[in-house]
Amino acid sequence: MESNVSRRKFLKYSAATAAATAIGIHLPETIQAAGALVEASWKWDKAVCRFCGTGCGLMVATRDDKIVAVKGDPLAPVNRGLNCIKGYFNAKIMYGEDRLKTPLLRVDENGKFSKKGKFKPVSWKRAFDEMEAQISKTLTELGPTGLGIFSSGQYTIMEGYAMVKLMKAGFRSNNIDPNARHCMASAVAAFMQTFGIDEPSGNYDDIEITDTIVCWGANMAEMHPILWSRATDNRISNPDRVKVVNLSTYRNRTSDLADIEIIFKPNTDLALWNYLAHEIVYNHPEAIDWDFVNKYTRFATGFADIGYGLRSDANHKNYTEKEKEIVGVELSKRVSKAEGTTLEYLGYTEGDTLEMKHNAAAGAHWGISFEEFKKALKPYTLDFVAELSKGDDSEPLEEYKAKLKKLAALYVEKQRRVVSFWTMGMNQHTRGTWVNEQSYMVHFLLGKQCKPGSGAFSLTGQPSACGTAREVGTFAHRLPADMVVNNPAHRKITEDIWKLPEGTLNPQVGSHLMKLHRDIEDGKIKFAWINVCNPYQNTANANHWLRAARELDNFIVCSEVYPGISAKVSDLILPTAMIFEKWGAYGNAERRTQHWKQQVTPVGEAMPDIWQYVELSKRFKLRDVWGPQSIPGLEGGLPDVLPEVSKHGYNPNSTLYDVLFASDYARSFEWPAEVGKDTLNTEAEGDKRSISGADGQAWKGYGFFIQKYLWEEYRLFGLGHGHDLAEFEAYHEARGLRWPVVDGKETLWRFNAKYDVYAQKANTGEFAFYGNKGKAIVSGTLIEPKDTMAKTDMDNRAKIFFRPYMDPPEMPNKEYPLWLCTGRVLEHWHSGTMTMRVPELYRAVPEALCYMHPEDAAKFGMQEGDLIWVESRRGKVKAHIETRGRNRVPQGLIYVPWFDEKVFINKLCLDATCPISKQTDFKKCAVKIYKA
Amino acid sequence: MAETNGNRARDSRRNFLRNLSVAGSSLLLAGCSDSSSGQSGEKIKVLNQNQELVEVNASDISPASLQADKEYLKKKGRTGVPGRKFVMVVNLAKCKNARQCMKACQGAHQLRPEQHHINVLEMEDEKTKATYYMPKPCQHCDNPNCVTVCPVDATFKRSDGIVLIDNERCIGCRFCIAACPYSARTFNWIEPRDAEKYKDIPYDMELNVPQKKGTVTKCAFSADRVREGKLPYCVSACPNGVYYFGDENEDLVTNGTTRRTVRLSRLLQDNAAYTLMPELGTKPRVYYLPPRLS
Amino acid sequence: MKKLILITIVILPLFVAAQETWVVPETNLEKISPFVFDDDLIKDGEALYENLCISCHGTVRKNNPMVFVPSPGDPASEKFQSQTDGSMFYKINKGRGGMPGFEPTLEEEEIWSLIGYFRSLNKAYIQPEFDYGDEVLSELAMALSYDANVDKLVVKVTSNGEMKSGIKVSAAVKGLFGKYILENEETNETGIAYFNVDRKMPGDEEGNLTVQVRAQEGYSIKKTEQTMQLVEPTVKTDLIAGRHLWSKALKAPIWLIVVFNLIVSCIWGIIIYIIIGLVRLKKVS
Repeated sequence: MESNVSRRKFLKYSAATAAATAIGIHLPETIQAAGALVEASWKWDKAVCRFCGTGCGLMVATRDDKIVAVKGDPLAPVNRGLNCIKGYFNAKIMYGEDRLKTPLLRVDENGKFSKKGKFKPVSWKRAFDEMEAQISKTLTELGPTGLGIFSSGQYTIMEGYAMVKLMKAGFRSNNIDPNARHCMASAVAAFMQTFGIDEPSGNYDDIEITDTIVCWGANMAEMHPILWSRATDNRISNPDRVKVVNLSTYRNRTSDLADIEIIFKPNTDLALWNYLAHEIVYNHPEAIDWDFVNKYTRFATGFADIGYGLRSDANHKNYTEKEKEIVGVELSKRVSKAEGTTLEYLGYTEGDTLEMKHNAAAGAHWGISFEEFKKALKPYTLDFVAELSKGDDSEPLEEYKAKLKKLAALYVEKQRRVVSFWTMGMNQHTRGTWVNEQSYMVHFLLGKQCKPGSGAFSLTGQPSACGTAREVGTFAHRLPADMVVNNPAHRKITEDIWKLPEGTLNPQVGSHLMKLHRDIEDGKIKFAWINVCNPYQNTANANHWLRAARELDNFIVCSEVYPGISAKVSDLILPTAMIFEKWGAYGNAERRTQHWKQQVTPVGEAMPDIWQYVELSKRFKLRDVWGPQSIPGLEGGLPDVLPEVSKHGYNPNSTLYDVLFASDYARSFEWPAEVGKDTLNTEAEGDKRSISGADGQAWKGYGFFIQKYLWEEYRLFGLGHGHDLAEFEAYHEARGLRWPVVDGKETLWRFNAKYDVYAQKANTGEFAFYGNKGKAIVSGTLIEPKDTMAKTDMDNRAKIFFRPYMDPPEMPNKEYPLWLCTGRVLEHWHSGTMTMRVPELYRAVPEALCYMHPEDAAKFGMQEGDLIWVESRRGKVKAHIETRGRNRVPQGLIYVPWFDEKVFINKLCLDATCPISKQTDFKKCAVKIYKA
Repeated sequence: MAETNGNRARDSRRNFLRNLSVAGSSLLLAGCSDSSSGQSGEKIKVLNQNQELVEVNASDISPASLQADKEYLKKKGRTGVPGRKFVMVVNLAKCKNARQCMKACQGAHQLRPEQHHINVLEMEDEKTKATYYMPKPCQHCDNPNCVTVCPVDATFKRSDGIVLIDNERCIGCRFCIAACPYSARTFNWIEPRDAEKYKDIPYDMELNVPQKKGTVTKCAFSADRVREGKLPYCVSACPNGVYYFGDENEDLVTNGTTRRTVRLSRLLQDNAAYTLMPELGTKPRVYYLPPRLS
Repeated sequence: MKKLILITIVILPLFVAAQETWVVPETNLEKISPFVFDDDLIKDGEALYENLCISCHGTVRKNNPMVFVPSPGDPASEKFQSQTDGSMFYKINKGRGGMPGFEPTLEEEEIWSLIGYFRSLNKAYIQPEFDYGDEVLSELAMALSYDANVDKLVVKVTSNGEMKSGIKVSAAVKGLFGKYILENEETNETGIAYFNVDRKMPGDEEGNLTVQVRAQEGYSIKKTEQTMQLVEPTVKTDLIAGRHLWSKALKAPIWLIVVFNLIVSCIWGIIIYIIIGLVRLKKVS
């Protein structure tokens, strides 16, 4: 039968049938019949999309150990059978032509490692030998702080958990930080400061329930396309009631649906939120939900002189003269005209020197009174804020003011449900934590939080920044389930669960992502391992880090799937299994954890990440790592815990593998298991390739269900602490579950006693912000905390922060007259390592363009399509101009996406961060352009 | 008897062959040996002009005037200026037939008025019939016909791009004049101008002075001047800014009149420069910027 | 008609004479040199003259300039020396007709050095004193470096040890025949001037270029020349690599010499063999 029609036609028919059925389109019977025939040899299974934080469900079909089809999962509540253009290519990303298939090591002619050598294929054993040697060398030379892990918001929960255990318990180092630091850190810091616990209170159901969708610096149409399709559905079905507002620094596709489009100047979102609060407090005090505010919140504020997250040494030897023009703001800056008004409450006027005294204590905050809060909001009148924030010079001021008033009216309207969404516009911000806190400030004042259809909803960018990075704690300061390393009680809990001797864990916060790069540049870290990210393409001020990787004496390992920039500057490349080549789990933006099974054998010699970490752990004995260790900045260093190991049944010659990954508890999870019937599992039982593994022997598996073990042990952290997860099997039946999962039931709206078991248990009425259970904070005035004042009781309350407007560190001037904003496009994911390998996506968007206003182009003597240099104080790249594209920027701003290696825009960006969250501001720096 | 004879015959043949190989190899060695290898002799201490005491080989010390040393002149003529690739750009838009270039050249190179190393021709544009003036020096081709046909290696291409003539070797066969498609070469049919005055000057092939009757002479991009970092005679003499001269390796050319230095690649690209008769495959080193035709 | 001819005859030579005189504006006539015409300056001027001017103005004192109308004139001549310093400066700067204006190519002190050289040929000349007014000559110092991130030459200038904005800095790349001027800039508030460098410009094998940088504040001038890595390493191709035939025997490849000599000896061997054979034949007969 197959011979009647060509094979490709059959595949097309069946895929079309499946996809069409998913969306609900009817196809002719002949095609359906043809499809059904071919599909008979296929095996469909549920899975999760590799890309953004929406977390769409997929169905993948495999045949002959290859994925042959992908379609949206009609049973997934998130996307109901729809996928975006990237999602449909979840299979093609695995089969790109230059997929890495063997380990590659830089060697000289004698086969010895040399940083100047060329990459040559080596065996896994050789790779691990080299890694072991380099780690030992680094430990001897620098101790645990000499190691660094670039971890990720895109690895599976089990992988992240395995690496956290290896790094923190094994090597006792906290220098592990994910690329989520560039993505969600500001949101996390704001969650912790406001709620005392991480992650949004709402869920995606809010999209259908709400009356108002406000996007703050988030191009949802391109970046969370499926959520946007749900929002569009709501808006179009209810045009009279539902309103959509797009606040952005440039017109984008989200504006197409928006009822109100507000183009504002970069950084002035700080002023806009305060304008809304001003409107509420001064002009519509009746809108304040005093019941809620009085019972469940407290007002607070913090310091403003906290620097900008740059290096504290403004004369660092690696800074060029050009960079030095800017970096001084870390120590002090001149108060600008706008700041003269907004910082007046602290006693500053225009022209004063603002000395940055609280850089190290940036997150410090204290309780204030409502009167003080109201006083601080005084300057944010409509006139002042409109003048300050209007981003489009061609727009009349009165029109802009009218829009702001309409926005405020939408928020204030008593019965109107409002959801504020944001992603990188508010997070990648030198005051990102502040802006996030301001969103809660407005929603709390109005009592529009933690209710169905109402709330400030921080959208996550990466597929598992929530599930892995944040919840598992793959950060320099975190432990699983929102615990932190510098809290002795938290360390004790962790040491108990992990069966570690007391004192094993390192109490000193490690280096965050920006600091990992700076430490490598300073020679303080000499061994780094890149896991599931592309830190040399995704970090601002890239020239510095590229040079540090290539020219200094260090060893960088990169677990990668395609030769991206990080792989190219590393010393050892390990081919890694991609998403459906291993068992895994992701947690999306609405706290939904979703699992999938291994569908196919990995390509070439690629091996899963868990295997790589666990095999490395076999190379180190307790003797090597659990003796006394010196930690710079930690008096006394880490204690010798070897004498204690016998209590847990180990001896100093046990390997980290025995202790961390192959304990009796671990081995109790048997493989084969019911849930894994007829499913591959490379880690547990090996696979048909019998790869020559880390010991030179053919890989035959660990013999136990290591992924389930990691999951179940990780679960122990969250149970009973507001982070409850269900058992492993539950996730293979359901299309994901939103945590906390208590007694098998998901939690839809947290902190709301009607929906959240923990809030109910707190017994404080309608709401309970149990993240702050039993806490109290210092009180103070607007300017500083005062020990003499009575403490502010925070028991089950959240905080309403007052935060002022401040300028960004680098603004356009005569020499660099344009704002540079960076971001993504719909068709490509992040650094393009996967999506640029898919021919269809590459053809759709083959290069990163420089989106520019046509009049700006004319002003500089250029036009559409010209090749230009874009230059900042830190670097320059060439790009083609686009004046009529999907992004219509206002005059004075240009936008360049970062997915393209050939347009390496991060060379230009400034490595300034929010001093509290340490998240880099990729959206604002000053550039100039000229013809190439 | 026959055996011994045979032996002797074999022996003599062996000897003969041995002698032959010895002779041959000695010829070989003679051919390969570098005659200019320095001999290590005694060393002498001298004070140089920087007030430093240095040691030099006694054999290397020679009279101060290098210009008088014929060996030196010959060697420097054959070896080009290292690391350079000379190139000339002629801006036809500026040429007003002042002929100062020709005058300076003929004055410097002992030429009669009818002998041209550089010649300014009046050209007519095909389409518009407008006339313009075009100076035509030797093009110093990268693929020179003249060098290929010279039977005695009297004309040769140097690594710095200049094609020179060694008039001590030239036999006057004039094959090169026939071969040159640009008619750049000229012949000394009679005694050169002022032959008496130049009689005692040692022959410098870079300057090509004194001229010899019965030899070929042509433009040499003033190899003597460029060696010292000075612009050629024609380039400096032009009052109208027609000539640019420079080093392709540096990508810089200097205008002889205004002395402004510009990027060669930009100058050629921005002005649509062309070469003469490129279809012949000679790869000339002289570029022309189009004239103003109106 | 006759009147017309008369008028023409009278006026024409005046025209011609007018052509001869080069009128210099009043203000420029009074200009005098802020630089002392010392031996160093005169020597610089002499070198410049021989490079730039001698082709038209001829060797000094020999009165053999190029035959132009009007004549360039010998700098040592009476006519030349009778003008003021300022007049000479103006003419060298601006140029006229065949005389190029050297304002874009030469710096102020270079033009003054030429004038100093001319005046050194005139024994009767005394250099007028320059009134510096309140101007105090500052001590300038320069440090050069390269910013590889943005391909710029960084020139840090201090005036009496302090950073100062507004100091004029010009940078040029030294070529064999002249200097390629990059830009003319002024220092910014941190006392730094930046110059864009085209990374594609050819340098040597290490990517070095020789830059000449000049800083000027008022009448103080500081010049420096430095070879630094500014561009990509350039591989220079040899024009005559691989050309063996008809070049010097020393350069001929060994295989060619051997084969050639072998063939020649073979042919000679055959000739000798034939001759010996013939001789033997004759002997036999």
